[in-house]
Amino acid sequence: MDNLKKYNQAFIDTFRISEDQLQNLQYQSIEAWDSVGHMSLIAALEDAFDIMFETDDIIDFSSYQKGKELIAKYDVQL
Amino acid sequence: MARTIFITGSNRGIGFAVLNKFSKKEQDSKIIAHARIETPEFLEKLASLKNNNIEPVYFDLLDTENLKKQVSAIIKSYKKIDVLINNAGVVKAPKSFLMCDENTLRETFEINFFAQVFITQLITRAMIRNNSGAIVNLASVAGISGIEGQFEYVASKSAVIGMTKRLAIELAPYKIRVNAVAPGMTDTEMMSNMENNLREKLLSNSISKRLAQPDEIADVIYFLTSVESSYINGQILTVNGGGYVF
Repeated sequence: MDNLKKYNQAFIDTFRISEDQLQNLQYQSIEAWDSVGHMSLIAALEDAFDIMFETDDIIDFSSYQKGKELIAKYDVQL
Repeated sequence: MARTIFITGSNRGIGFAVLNKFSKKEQDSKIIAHARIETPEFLEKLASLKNNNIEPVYFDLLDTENLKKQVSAIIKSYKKIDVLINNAGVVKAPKSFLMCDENTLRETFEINFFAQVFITQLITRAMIRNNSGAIVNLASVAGISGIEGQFEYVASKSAVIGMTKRLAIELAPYKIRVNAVAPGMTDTEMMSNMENNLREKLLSNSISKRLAQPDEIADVIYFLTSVESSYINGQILTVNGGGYVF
């Protein structure tokens, strides 16, 4: 599975949503992406890419798109 | 069930008693035993435990950046952490509030509170991944009732109590329990920083008329990490032999 697919799958599995919901997805824009869901998403991404987010990046991770920017800091090319 | 347990300040006092307790009760569990620095005394103590599943780790709680690096490395290495014992703490020589200097105040809070916050913030991420965990923070009766001449210690332990209550609420959805133990006067090196007349006064006003042994505190800490305490959450369990009358 390529990295973009893995990135998308983390959202899909964590929030139980479909791929067509991803592009405009933002923190708290759906019920599942609350503060509890947020940490579950972070854990899923850390597991998928074997990385560990800095606390500041967890805070800044405010949307699907922003997450793409942030994850690049960890040498993950999407 | 084999667990992964992380104990801060495990080289002496209550921390070593906790390490000893887990070491005896959980031969198959991995125990990460933190101390500030490696010393021959600590290595000797570790050898005496005869448990090959203990991994000592060394870092200074005053060095926040390094603390974060070290704890992150532990998480990367172990992935799964089941138990966190936030034991490390410091008490300085007694001074009145008006004589409490900034360095003493900041250093006490750095070790007794902020280090615990940062360690917990990282460790809970490993616990969230497994949707389970038990955290026990070391508070103190001083943080509940106050004690003469130790403003910064009292204030920092009160902060630990607040942290415990808040975290219990916030982490409950991930099935992580957070409790604190508030020991009374305990027979450790820390007691040497208490003035003799205050110590005698507190002892004479206590119901048990004696100091706690570190092992008696460790028993309660162990219990709070066990399934037997599965419905205890957000509590500050006072272990002071029946209390003091001020």
